[in-house]
Amino acid sequence: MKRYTYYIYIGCLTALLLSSCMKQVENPTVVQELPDIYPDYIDVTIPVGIAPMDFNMTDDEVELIDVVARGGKGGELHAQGAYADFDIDEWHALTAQNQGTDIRFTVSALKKDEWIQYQDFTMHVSPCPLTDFGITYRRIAPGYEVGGNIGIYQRDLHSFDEFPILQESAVPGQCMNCHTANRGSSEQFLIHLRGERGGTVIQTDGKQTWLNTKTDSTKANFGYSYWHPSGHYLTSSVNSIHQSFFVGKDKRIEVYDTMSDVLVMDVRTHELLLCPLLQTVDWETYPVFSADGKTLYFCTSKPCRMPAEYEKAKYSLCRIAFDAQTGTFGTEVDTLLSAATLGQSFTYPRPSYDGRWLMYSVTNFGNFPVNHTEADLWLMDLQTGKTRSLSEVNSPDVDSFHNWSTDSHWFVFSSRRGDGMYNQAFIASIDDKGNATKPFLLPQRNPKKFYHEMLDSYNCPDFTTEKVRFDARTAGRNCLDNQRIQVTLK
Amino acid sequence: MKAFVSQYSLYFLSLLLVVSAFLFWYLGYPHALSYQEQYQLFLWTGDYFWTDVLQVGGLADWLGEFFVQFYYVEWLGALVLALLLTVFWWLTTKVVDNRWYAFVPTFLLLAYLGDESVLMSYVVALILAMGTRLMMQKVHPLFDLLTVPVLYGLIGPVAWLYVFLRLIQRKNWQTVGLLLYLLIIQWVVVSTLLRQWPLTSAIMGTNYYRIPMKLPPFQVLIPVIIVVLAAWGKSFKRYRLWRLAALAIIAVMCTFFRFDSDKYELIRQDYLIRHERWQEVVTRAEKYQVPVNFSSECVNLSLAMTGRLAERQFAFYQSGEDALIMPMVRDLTSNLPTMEAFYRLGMVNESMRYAFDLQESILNGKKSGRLMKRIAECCIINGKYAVAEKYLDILQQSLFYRNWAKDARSYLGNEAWIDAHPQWGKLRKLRYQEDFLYNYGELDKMLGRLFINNPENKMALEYFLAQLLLKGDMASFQQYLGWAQRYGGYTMMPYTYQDAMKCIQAQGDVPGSAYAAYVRQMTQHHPSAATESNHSAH
Repeated sequence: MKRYTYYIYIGCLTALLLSSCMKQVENPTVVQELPDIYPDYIDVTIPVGIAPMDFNMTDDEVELIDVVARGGKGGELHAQGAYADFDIDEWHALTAQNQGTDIRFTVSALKKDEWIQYQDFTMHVSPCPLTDFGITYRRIAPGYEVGGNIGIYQRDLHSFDEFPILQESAVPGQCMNCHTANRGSSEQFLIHLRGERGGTVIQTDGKQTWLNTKTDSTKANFGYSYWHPSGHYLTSSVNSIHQSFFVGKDKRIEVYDTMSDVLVMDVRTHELLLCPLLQTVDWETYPVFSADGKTLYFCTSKPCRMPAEYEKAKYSLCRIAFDAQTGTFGTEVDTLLSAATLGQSFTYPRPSYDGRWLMYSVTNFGNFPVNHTEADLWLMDLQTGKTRSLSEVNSPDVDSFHNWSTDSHWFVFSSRRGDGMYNQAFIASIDDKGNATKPFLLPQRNPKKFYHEMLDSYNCPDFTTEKVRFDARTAGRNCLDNQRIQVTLK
Repeated sequence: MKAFVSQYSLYFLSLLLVVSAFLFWYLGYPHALSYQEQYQLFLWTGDYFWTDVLQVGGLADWLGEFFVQFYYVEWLGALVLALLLTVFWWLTTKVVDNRWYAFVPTFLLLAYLGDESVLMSYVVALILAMGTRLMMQKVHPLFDLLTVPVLYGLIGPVAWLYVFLRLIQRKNWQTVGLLLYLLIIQWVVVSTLLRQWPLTSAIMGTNYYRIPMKLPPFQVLIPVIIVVLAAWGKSFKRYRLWRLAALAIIAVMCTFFRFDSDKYELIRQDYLIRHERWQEVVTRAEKYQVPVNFSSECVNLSLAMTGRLAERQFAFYQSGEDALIMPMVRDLTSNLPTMEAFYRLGMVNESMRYAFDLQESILNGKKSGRLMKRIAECCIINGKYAVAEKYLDILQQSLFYRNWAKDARSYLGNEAWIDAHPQWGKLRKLRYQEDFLYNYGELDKMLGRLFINNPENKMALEYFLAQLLLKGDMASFQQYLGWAQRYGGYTMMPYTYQDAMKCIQAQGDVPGSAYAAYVRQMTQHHPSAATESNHSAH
């Protein structure tokens, strides 16, 4: 007992010393303006239990920042330092206590020995929790033809911890496409590898299966894939993907197909289900299943002479029925958004898992929105068919690569709004009426430094329900062994 | 006298080694130092330190990079490397207890350094392993329970050298347990922390060699020889000195054999281009030129930069249509001269693209000071200031790029300053004013378009006509030769153009013609292309 008393004394003394290290905000000059902070977290909506929303002042001349966060339902946090850095546990407690209400931040900045106190701002704690563990994404330098030190990672959204799933070091010389999970499942997902020893690895309940997805009757290996909710099928495009580079100063890359089809694979038998309506002379791509698995959405463009006519490639958003019981397709293709009529290109459809919404990318042309500064996110109400631009989310730069949380109340997307070159992951919530909230940048400790020094883009972020466990060593060995199960036609 | 010699010979030999190694690198291979330096960017930050050190073998990695940063200044780099080599030799003398035998692993190490993919972390790891063994000379073996895992964590699998040397030193069978101990530690680490590495790399070290999955024999041979000499060196004493000398000679020969002359000639050309020593590239090529496209590009660029491309292009080896601009090659070196040529031509976006992909081709995932600097410059020219700022702020954390980056940062957003900058301002005028897709297959057209874009871009004009000649497109060459007369500023028609015209008129039958020789060379290598070329000529 005596020993514990000592510990308490030491703890109190340490706390006293620490608190005495904090400078008092004395006689601040109160200004009627909001603080200029990075990231812009003013008025954003966050879920309970999100990692602390640390932020910096954008002004480099600020020596010290003092932040008091007060919850509308109680609770208070105080942070002082070079940037606002909140204790994880205390932050979680504050957000939990204030679910459905606001947290008000009072920010004071010490600059040239003078304290400036700004107008308070708020963050809204959503009544909808974010139940997923975190997000997965590919980290890749925004280069051209070389993937470099590419890797697929996962990030615990409740802390700042990032874990590698598969890094390039495990499969030297191979490029990897993104981890595609079945509704954010950590138990069923696939990864495509490109390169000399490329292939598709499907992991189900911890077991890796390596496939060769190219057949004599299909145009290429699997490209953009998506799971059927039953987990028995996956749909994929098979594309001949190319990229060209601009010589001018404003644009860098245009990625395009010279042909593409859509197909479905029975995961249990590794048999391909082909449909003539999805294998036309037109270019079909970006297939996804609806939430109930009865509809297959995809995008399609009339063929063009590429790359000369790259601006003519415009994709319509279509759908076709799919019967999972029999593995058969409907007999008609329904065009939801016509590129010919609307004059734009509609790609990367992502239906919400509750079946209510369909989010997609809109660009002036092409099928690779991440390189189009005009790329915006749009939302379709699947009950009414009405569409609208998510203007509350979009930015003047690229907004793309969106995916839904498993409860469909949140979505994540990548945006180049930061510096025009590096994609960053943003998260926003959406209510029952389809109104999205102001998105917030994926929280980091000392975010200004983190993102300024970050030399990778966050590519294809998606939610994951649990922490993904993937044995990279085994994957590397299997990749090099080149032993693949050949998919066949049914 | 003998005692005196014995006492001071160690110092003398150390000094001799420092001086000779310094001269070897400084006079013989400054370009090798530049090559190493350009594939890393050492930052003086705590984050950089911890990112390295928290990896297995990370301290060796960090120290290796720390030393290599000084290669930026040639004499300093040569001195650092000479000192490291001497320290290695000195520690080996202590470990094997013979200063002469110690030369064998030293020369082998020098030979191994001739492989451009060897990282300095390997040398540092060897030094730290032997240094630790000497420091632990009189320390109780129980401390090895701590030393071995810490050393393994800091320098990686070269920690095995320490364990074997300790075994030899103690001559105690109980110390054999150390082998098992390190084996268990390594097994645990390889099975847990290094799952993102193939088994071979995880076991043999992830940071000693730039190319993953490769295990050069020298990497194992050098520590094995140290162990053999430490264990049985004394029994070799009955051999006479000349036998030892023979060993040393073999090692020296091995050194020169490892420094492949053609490879290092190409590295030297790139080094000279990096430092804009154009005339030296041409002078060296006059004596000997490696017959590959890399060399053609270096020489052609140097000729262009000294205003003699139109005069002398075919006096040098031309590899073909890729002799001016190479298509994208996924490695860390091949596209360096193309990146430089693009930049000077005013094809700023393309220079940035090549620089970016070259940087991403560095197989150990490091960034490059040289390439990041180029990317930042391109961003400044293109007005992408937010991205430029990102790179400049990183470069400011280095020792040797700091001042440049600081100065460059002051230009951000200041259009008038950039326009007035002698290089950036000029490139802003030379670059394409319109946007279209790059097409390597139509390189000649792109160069022509670049020239039309700004008729003051004489380099673009010369590259355009040179590309037509390389391609054998005689009809176009004749069609556009007028541009050379109108815009080239030549007092008389350059020799290459005269020669080419003679070839056209004489249908290739011009004795002593350099261009005719080129066409013949291409005919032999690419008969179909030659037919096309002849057809065009007719």
